[in-house]
Amino acid sequence: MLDNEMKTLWKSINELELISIDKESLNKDVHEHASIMERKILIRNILEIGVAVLMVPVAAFIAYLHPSLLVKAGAILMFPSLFLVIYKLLETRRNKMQAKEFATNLEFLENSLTYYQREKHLLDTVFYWYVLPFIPCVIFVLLGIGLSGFKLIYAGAITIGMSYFIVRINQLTVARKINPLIEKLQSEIETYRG
Amino acid sequence: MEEAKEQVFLEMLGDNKAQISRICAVYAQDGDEKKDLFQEVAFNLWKSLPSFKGNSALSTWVYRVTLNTCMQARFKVKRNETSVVRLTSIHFETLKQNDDDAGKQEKIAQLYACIRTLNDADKNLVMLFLEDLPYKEIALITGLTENHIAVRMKRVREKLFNCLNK
Repeated sequence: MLDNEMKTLWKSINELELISIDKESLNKDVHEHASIMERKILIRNILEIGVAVLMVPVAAFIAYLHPSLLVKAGAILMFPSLFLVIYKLLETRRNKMQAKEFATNLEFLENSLTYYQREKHLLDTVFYWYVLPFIPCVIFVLLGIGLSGFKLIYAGAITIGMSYFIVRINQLTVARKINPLIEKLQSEIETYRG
Repeated sequence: MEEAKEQVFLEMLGDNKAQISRICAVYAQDGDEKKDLFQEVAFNLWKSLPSFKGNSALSTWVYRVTLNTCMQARFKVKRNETSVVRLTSIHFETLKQNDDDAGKQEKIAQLYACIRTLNDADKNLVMLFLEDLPYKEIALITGLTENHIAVRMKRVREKLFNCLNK
């Protein structure tokens, strides 16, 4: 088969297909879909950052009301930790711009790779910016509310268990979702350059 | 401004729907996925349109968005039903096939099957080549140099011819 024959065959693919576009409603359709997407992003933002923002007045309230100095110290220590979480999430959001669909194919693949590598780094380091800063706060609060003996061990075990759960769930996300994507993108970029 | 954008979008989609559909068909596993991909491309074109600065031809830009959207769909580990774009204003209809069309359809199916055996980079190059685009434009779409494309196309065409003549 010659080049021209192949091109003619390729272009005849649509002969048995009719794509009709309802111009009146297409613009309405895309606007609707865009607002659904915006709503989803807003909900995700509220879930991610909103909880940390809401915790700020709660910590302030505890620090103001509770008589124990240790609890007050724990609650006050929570401020920098919460601000660190908020900062980290906002900074990551700002830096991890999705790859632009109108970039060249190679740029698009490279940008997608950078995006997922940043995502991986964020999740890999979750212990340091999400779990670790809160541990001193929890220790102060647990000691401040007068827990001792078995109750203190029990509360400590719950704290460690929750911390492990948060770290593990992020590790699993990296292993199951992000790493395969990174590998796929790396091999795709290699074949592109190859 | 918004009205002008909408007009450009409708014209662009109308003018390029055949090209978009051909490319989506290569990337899709079946007819339904092809429709989903087409709609996703349409949505991405609309979303990206304000970024079009006219540095390249509109068709070049459409090819970029189409290929990137199709490639992106493959990176998603699991295509979530809720994230699929549903634009009910785009209708797909398969026309009745004559007896004469049967042979042609077989050839088309073979062409598709052969293109699908290639890796994504070669697949994209061959599709753009079949769209009759000059290497210069293919370079603007893929981000590869014209020389690289020329060398690579020689190899890819050979692979494709061998597959078609099997």
